[in-house]
Amino acid sequence: MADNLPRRIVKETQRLIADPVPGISATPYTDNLRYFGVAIEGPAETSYANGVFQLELFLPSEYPMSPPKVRFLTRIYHPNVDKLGRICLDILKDKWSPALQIRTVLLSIQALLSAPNPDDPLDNDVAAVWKNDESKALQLAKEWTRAHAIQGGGKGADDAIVID
Amino acid sequence: MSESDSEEIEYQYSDDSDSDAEETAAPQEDSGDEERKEESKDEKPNPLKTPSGKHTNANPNAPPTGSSRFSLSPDYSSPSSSTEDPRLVPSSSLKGEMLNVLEEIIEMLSIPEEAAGALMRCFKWNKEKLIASYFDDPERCLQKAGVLKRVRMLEDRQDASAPTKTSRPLTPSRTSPRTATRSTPLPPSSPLPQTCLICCDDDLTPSEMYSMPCSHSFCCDCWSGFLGNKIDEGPSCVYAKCPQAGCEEIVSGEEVKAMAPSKISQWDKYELRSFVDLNKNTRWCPGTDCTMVAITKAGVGDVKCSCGTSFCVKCGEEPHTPVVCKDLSLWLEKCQNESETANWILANTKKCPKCATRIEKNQGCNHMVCQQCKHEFCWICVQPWEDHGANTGGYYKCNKFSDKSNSDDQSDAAKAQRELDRYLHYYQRYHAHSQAQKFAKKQLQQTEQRMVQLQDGSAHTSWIDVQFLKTATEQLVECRRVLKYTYTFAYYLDPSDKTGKKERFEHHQEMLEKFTENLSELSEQSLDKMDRTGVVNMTRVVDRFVKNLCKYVEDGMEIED
Repeated sequence: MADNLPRRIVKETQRLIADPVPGISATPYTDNLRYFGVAIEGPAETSYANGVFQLELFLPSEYPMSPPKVRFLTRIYHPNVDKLGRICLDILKDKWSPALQIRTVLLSIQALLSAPNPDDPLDNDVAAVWKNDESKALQLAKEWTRAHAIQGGGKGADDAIVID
Repeated sequence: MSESDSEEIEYQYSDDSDSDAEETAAPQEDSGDEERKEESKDEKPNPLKTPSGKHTNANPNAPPTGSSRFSLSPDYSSPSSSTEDPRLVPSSSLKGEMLNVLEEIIEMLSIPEEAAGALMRCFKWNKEKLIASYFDDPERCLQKAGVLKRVRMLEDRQDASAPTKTSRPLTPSRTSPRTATRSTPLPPSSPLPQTCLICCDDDLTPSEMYSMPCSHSFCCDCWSGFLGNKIDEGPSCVYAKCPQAGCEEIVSGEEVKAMAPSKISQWDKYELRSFVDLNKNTRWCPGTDCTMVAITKAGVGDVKCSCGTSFCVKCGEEPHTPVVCKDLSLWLEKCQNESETANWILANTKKCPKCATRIEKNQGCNHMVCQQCKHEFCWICVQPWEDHGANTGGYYKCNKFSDKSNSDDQSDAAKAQRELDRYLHYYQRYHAHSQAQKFAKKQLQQTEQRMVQLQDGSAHTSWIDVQFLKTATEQLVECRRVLKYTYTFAYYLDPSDKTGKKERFEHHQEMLEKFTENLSELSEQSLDKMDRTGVVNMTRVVDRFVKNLCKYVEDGMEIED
């Protein structure tokens, strides 16, 4: 498996493990080295603080010419993340550059948790609340974090978003 | 044929038309096209001549067009200076066309060719807009097009031709990393191994690295992969940017030539495609599998392609004078929405006014004879045919829409009903001529056969002598097309207009209808009764009349005296 893996992915993986980003862990699955289990800690002083959010990250065969596919597995109340955990982030779409890395993508996602952008929403309902009643939105986000992202290290499999 | 006869008839009819309006050269005329094509070929080597230039007179090397005498096409010897100039070029000469345009920009702004291409794309090949924007704020303009670094680099090289500086070679090649004079800090060029941010190889020699003018270096393999990938993604590759995240510098053919040479032909193809697609002065011929391109200076005009397709350069639809593109698109949309089955029946069949048999018209002429009861009537107005024609002074009183319903009734329902009636009135006539145009086209296909028969019919007839039949049928197609669109045009005329414009237009329309019916009837005559002089004269009259009508509309339908 590892033999077919591009040099770049091997290097990125080694570096992610040897020199992890604070608050982020990314581990490849042993049966598919292009598939990563990711955990991002909710940034302090946000509604997501103390939560640990599980994500999945997949490197398509065109990577790094195409962006990685990333999705939240833990439920999260956020205007740029929809019910299925899909993320609205420019660098995962048209602003992708092959010079970006898994590391930079995950950092951007972490930054998105600190700075939600309700003007460019993926989930319109959430964004509407965010724009009309921000305190309510923040409260909801906190409740969701407590309910889904803070239990036994946030690995609550019951809460994971399941897609067929 | 007798020349004097034709003149006489012509004048007699011309009285009703706008005889003092200058004849305009119809762009779709065949011989004219040939000349334009010739011209475009001659033009190519001249880099200063551009399709979007101010105004260069149509065709200096064109032969005097009096030679069209035999084919009996109207003489276009005096093209007025306001005539549009759509010309057709094969896609193989597009590159030359594009370079002609770029040449001027390169010279005016002193920028590299690659930058000029990207700038023009950014401004949709609108030279004036680009120049205005450039002189307003060059920095921003270049930034917007993603060529700032490319242009600045050339300037730097010109300013300080310091030999010590690692300057960008003129011909694309694998370059050593630039000295760190740019905004992006790079390690000073030294034999230190370099890292490619794409493949993460950290043991690369400077010669294995390549960068665009923005100085973001990546290894050649990654460049090749990156460019190949972008080009495989399709036409949008011409907007590809430097692989560095956030860098706005745009990729050009220079990089493709250097790093992905196997893809350069594909790149060139996409570049030319975007040249035609973005440019509002160019249009691909809509004909099936046709690769010709129409180029105009003014962005308007009709053109006839060598594949036989005629189209409006601005909207790509069939030529549609006197209607403007906007109204035509409204009209077509309206017809698509509203002409359902009921309308088909309404427009395609009519009841014989006498015996009520449903009749579907399948011949071009509007003079109908019911096969059941032999009643003769006009297809358009369903009135007896005797009421038509010069003998009653009635002509074709079948093109005017009079608001018969009680216009005092202002209820919404009544208004809607009136509007529907109004639409149906025009649609019915539009559709009738549309069908007639199709029949005329079919007739055109059979004309050659008829011409052969006609020639065989008498001993002293040459092929040229029977050409008139083809010319007449072509004219008939043209008349049906124009007539069709006169109804679209009339539909969008302001019904509340009190200056009499509408009445005058309808009068001309009626005349054209009359001439067209005459021509239709004459040219459909059985061969033994064929009146050659009559057909020839009628063709001329009708041709003149159509041109005048279009000119009249173009000039705003002012009263003339």
